[in-house]
Amino acid sequence: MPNDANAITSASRQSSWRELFAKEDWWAVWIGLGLVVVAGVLFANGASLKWIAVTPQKWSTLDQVGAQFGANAARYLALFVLWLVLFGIAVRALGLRLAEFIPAFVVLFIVSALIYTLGAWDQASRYNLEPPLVALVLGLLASNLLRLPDWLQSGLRVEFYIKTGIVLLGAGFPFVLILWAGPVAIGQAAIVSLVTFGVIYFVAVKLGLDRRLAATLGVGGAVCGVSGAIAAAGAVGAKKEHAPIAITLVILWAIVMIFVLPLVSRALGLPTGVAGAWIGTSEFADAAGLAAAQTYSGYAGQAGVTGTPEAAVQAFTLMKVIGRDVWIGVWALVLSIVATTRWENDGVTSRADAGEIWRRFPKFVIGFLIASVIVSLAAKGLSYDAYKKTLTPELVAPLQGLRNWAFIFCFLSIGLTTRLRDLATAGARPFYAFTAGVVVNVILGYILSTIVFVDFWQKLGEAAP
Amino acid sequence: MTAARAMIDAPLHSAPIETPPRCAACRFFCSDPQELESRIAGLRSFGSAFAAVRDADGLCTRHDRYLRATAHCRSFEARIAD
Repeated sequence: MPNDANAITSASRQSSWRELFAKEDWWAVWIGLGLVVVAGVLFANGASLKWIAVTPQKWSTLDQVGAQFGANAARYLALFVLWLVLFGIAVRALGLRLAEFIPAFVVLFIVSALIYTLGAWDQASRYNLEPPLVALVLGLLASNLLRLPDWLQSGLRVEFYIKTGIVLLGAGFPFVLILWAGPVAIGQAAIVSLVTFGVIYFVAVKLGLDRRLAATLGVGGAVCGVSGAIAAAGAVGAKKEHAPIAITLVILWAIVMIFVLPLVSRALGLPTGVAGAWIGTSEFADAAGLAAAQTYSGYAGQAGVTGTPEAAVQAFTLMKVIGRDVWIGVWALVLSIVATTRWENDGVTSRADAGEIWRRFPKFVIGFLIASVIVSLAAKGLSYDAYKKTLTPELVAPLQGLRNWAFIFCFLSIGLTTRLRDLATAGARPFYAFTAGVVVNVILGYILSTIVFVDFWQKLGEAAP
Repeated sequence: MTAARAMIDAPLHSAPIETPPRCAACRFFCSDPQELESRIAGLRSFGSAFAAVRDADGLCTRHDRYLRATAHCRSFEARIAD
């Protein structure tokens, strides 16, 4: 018996080690933190990553665009090779085909560069040409109106790009800010998540839906969208059609909210930190929410929108990633216990254990926190002047540039992977249940962000460096 | 021993050694990420089968359910090695 126990423990350890290279969460950590560490080492030795972290600069004529690309051609090429190598290694390790990924990524990079450049046009905001929205609309039109080659799908890794971007985001996120704002974000997110889940679950059960579907819909709407739905589906042993139904509803509402939340926030003149908190409370998926928050960052300083541009993304990240995403394992464990002890098991036994909390933990959050700690330590002891004149342009800004690239890859991938005709038919009752949760979520999120905690989120926008 | 400690230790200490075969080794169970992404509509749009939150869950074609890899049932049939 001890030998059997040892064998189980050994197999479990091997599985844990394998996971470090078999899950994209960990690859996002390796890539994101690797870049942060290299940037930190270069900075410590008087150099910088900024040569390769090239981004389009503001322009007003096409001649200027041509001049920019002409002068920086080698930098763009080096950046492309850097991303291709990093993502290529990860994709290969995940078991995807490099022969398909490489041409797909070439297309993704070129179109992303064009969208990024369009966003740098000095008239872009006048025509609502914010890169996240352009990338999304362009991608949606292409995937739904054209027949795209299958190999292109290999380069469209929405979650991988957003997770890598979030790890890099940590580099521009002072750790003290996480400690200061984290508890409020967790409190606000907990209120909204519990209420939203309760509404969706209650309405779904009242409408006669299976409790497993009700739980899958509930976690999808209340915690973290598609990731939440798929985690809940496994935890409760959902029927095979339940997850696709929840995913369809999450995608439809998430896309609607990408456009609605920033535009309504702008119409109401919400400060960037407040709007970011609302988006973080009321969007369903990280990628969709970051598209909305990044869009709102672009509105800073226009039409009465106060606060720093970064505050929208920072408030969103605190609310969504720290406040909601990290609890997915707890939701899965609790629902699993309820499912196995209170619901009929249909001949299948699926027992929960506390290890589920760690196994389902979104590991990229660890990378985000470590990146924040690394840059915060680098800033320790620097005067505000030195921080602004040295650390920001030489260390933080290049990492922010790389982050923006990762985000644009993601936003374009969202559009290009969302083929409405391929989504499962959700049916009226799941739609009503999920929509009831959306309505409550948006209203409650608005009240908490703009009334109950408004001073806090407003201050975040003023205090952000 | 605290209740929390007992809960954390429970799976290792109380799990019977003679456990029934798990879904992970069953021929009806599919947890390959690429296969799941092709079978679950929309999964790739805002999610991923390569994500940590999925753990090792997969689709059971025998019961038409989405289950943990550690689940088990009487219909188990061992997967034949490739």
